[in-house]
Amino acid sequence: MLNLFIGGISSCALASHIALEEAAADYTVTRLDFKAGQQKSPEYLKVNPKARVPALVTDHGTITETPAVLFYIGQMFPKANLLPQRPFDFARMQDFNSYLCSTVHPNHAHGFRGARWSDDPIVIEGLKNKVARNVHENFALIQDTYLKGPWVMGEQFTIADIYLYTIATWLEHDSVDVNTLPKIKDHRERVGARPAVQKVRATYV
Amino acid sequence: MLKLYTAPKTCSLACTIALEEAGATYELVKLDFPAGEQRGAAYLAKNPKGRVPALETDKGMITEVLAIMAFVAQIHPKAQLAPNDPFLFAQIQGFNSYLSSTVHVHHAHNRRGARWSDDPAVVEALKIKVPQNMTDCFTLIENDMLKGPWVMGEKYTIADAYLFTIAGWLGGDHVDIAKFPRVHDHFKRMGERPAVQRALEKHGG
Repeated sequence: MLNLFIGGISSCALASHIALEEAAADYTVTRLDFKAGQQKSPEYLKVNPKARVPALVTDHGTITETPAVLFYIGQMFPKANLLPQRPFDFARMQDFNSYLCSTVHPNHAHGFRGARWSDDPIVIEGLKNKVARNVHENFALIQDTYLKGPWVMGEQFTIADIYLYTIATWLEHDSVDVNTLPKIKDHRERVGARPAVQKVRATYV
Repeated sequence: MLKLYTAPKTCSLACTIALEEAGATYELVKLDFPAGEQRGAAYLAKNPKGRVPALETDKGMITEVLAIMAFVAQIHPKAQLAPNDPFLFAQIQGFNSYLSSTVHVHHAHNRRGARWSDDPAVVEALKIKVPQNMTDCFTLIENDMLKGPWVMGEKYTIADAYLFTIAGWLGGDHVDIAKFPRVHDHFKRMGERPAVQRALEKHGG
């Protein structure tokens, strides 16, 4: 039985949660209270010493980092067809997920997790100023070069769409006007309308 | 024919090591970063993100270190640089994802702070926490992630190429690698590998 440690609905762990539902996996979730700092508790640090979510506990051990968790879910539930099969296509999908993980998410995180990179309150406040521009630039690039349509990889819906959707739900928080990114807006609406996504979202209310 | 776009002293070294370890036939192109070649029209036409590494294949371009290395491993199966087992592959991708989205991002705040702020005072202030952040990351790697003798234990994989590359940045980030004896030992053993030596020579450090 898979157990996924998650945060609130605006955490990137939402992507792994949706993937499990799309895969029709047998799974449970354990929700951590970030406001209470539960991710830093001794119990959770034993699960994931990085004090972050997602963490997917499997019979073999724990997997962390969204691109890795999404890959594992896709690979373990092949009937859901969530991964491209050909090596080049698989590499392009990993390329995209890595871009989301190491460029887009950190840009977003400078908005309210600036304390990771500075202990100076003035600097932390100053880091909020470029978030909207950076995130908009990233999404414009995604729209122009990555998003083949109708899905990220073209005809096949994959874990890349789940991950893009998750990060796209943060756009308003990052003060980006999604109407300036029509393909992103359309993609977000179509993923949001999927039954698995709606079912997962309802559990956060 | 594979063509890898690189620049000296950057993370594209990890991909060069992977190609050398795989015994791949490839061409290495060195971009002139001081001259800003990565932001020039010719390169942006190939990689609109204006970054290295980028791997040109006969099917198209792949970017992002973890995607390139996994692809190189996948198309050179005899070199056994990544396992087929889903859990083990997910562990490698989780480690590589941590390096790219947490460790490299911390390091980037030293000289690339302008990515996150246009205020020169903020850009300068972002250097302050880099040594502490890099120390915290490598403490986790030393104690919790590096199984030994290689990242994944007995088997050498693409994760070792990436760890070696980023560990090489510690000195420049004012962190003494000797504080992490197992990482330091790994770094030295990597430096003895013929493929790594060839990669360092071709890549330019």
